[in-house]
Amino acid sequence: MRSSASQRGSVLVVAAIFAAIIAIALTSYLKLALGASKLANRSFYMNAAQNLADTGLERALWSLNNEHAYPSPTHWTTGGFAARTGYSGEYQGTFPTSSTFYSLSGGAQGQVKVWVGGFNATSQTWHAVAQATVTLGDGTSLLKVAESYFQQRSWGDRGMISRNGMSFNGNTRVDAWHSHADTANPADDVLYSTGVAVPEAQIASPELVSLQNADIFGYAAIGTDDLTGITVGATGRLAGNFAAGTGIDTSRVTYDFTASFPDVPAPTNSGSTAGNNLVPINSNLGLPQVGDIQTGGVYYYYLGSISLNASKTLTIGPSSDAKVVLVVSGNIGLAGSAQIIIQPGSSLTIYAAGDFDMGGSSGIQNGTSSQPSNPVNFTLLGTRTEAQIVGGLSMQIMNVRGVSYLSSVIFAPNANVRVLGTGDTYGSIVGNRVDMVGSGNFHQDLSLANIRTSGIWKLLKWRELSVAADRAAYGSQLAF
Amino acid sequence: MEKPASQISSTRRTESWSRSGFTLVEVLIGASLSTGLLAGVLSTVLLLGRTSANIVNYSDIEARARKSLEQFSREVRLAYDVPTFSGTSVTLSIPDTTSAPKGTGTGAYTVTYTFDSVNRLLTRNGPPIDNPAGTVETTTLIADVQQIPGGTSFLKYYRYVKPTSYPLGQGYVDGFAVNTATTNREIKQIEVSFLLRRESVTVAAATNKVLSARFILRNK
Repeated sequence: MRSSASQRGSVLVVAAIFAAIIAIALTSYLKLALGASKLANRSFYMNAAQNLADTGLERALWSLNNEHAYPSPTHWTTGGFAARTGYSGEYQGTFPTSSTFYSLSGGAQGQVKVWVGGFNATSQTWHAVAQATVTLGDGTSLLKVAESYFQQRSWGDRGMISRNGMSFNGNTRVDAWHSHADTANPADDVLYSTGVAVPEAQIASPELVSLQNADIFGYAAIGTDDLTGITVGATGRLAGNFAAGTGIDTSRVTYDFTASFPDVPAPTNSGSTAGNNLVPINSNLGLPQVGDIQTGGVYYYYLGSISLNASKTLTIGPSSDAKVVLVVSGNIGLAGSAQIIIQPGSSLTIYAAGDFDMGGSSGIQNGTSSQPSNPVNFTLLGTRTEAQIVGGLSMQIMNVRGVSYLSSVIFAPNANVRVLGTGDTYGSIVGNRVDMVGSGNFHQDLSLANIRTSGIWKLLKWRELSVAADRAAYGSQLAF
Repeated sequence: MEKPASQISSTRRTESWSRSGFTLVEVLIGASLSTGLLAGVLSTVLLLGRTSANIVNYSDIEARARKSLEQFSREVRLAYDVPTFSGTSVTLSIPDTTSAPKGTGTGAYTVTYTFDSVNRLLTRNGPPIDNPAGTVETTTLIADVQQIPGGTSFLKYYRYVKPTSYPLGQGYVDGFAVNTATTNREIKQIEVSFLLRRESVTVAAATNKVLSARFILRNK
């Protein structure tokens, strides 16, 4: 009887041991599975937090890029920011709002705080820091912090850029110089001459660049992986110095160039761009006129079209430092010997929604008949948008020429630009396609790159603040 | 007289029954059942053990893969240049903390990720990711790394697609033939893929294919 009882007990113990082993194994399974699940979950939501931080930075960029529609500082408030109490020039915002959250999957929710400040007027940069918080369904939270610098773009930070190819005609010379128009002191301005020219001009297109017999002293960026993206005639060249020669210096070529241009937002007749409505211009006119209103030192004019023929002129100035902006909703046409004259010391910016066609011997004179003013004093902007092109509108046509020269900044990403005439062209040109039809030379003004007045902002730098010390540096800015 | 005799006889039969052992058949049946039961339990325990080891391997390689990818992606996003690159190695230039997108001041450094296909390692050579001023050293991020069978390389590089035709905005598209980068100038995205294989004694190999997203070099 004792022996039998003992045997029954040992079976129970063995069974208990096995059960314990199985229980331990199962517990380990569960813990491992739970750990892996948590890790995967956190990785997933860390990505979500990253996206959320970027969303916050995008909010800041949106506000900067919409200043034309919501004059400062309403572009900040419209974008969801508020001035930071006690700190001038700083803004902060919580998105979606301080009391609401973005709903994420799995019961998680997120919110992002953004601080914007540190505006640098010289480099035209803003600094933004975004802190994204994702709270998971179990109450734990994840944090991602990223900072960005935004910089205002220049209309002419390259010489000649097109999206769909470019061509030169005849023995055109392309080079560059510094006009020093980017400094406040006009006394240091430099007129172009071969003595101040440098072999630093930049031409670029993802499609074929046809130099023909032009001499390009500078750089070419092409869209192909090899030299098939650029062709040159028997006496043409791309070179890094002014010594005689032919052919392409391959050290001056960069490959795989791509081009993506922002649309040009036209001003509206309100707020910081409020101005004067004009009837279509088709006869002699001088601007500004007595009694015209100006906003921020600039005369804004809103009109339907410009059509000048014979010897009619549109003159900007001669009042000293007259800054005139024409916002033209239709076409601009000059024929015969009609001219647009921008007196020295004055400036003209044209926002053109339609075509800009110059025929006959018409011309644009930016300066005197013999001496050009800095290119920055005449800016021609094409406002046709990418969406309009997709919607069926054709590319804008811009046939431009100077009287004896053309000194200008042309930025028309959705226009085919043709430069006519025999005079030289100074400044920069951006178009869907650029053709130097005339026989004049092209001189890029390198100083234009530092004149950042486009109102279009770009992401200059992005950095995740993954180190605790970096995040701590913005603790007070994000403590709201 | 017959009645008592009958009682004695009955008692003896009971005692005899209680003292008797198992018959041979009973023992054989019992032993067979016990053996079967024990074999089942033992195989279950063994299976549990092997599966546990396998799960540990899976869990370990997945955790290491996630950690490595997180570290790699963080530095790719920051990079402003790719000085050298190949199918097994990439060097990234990380900018400083200033507003300059290619700043080389305090905080700037270079880091190299290398897949050592011989020793099956993924290594990182550079200062600690949380201390750019720290000592440059080579650390092993993952062991047991292999190229995915049939794959072309550990690292793949992609570029923008030329937005020359409308509609625009097609900067990044799917596909391997049209936007593979071949020069460092055009590299705008980096993708990493590899196979992790962990083996233990008596356990089937645990394998894990890792295919990352295409990380964008935001400062390049």
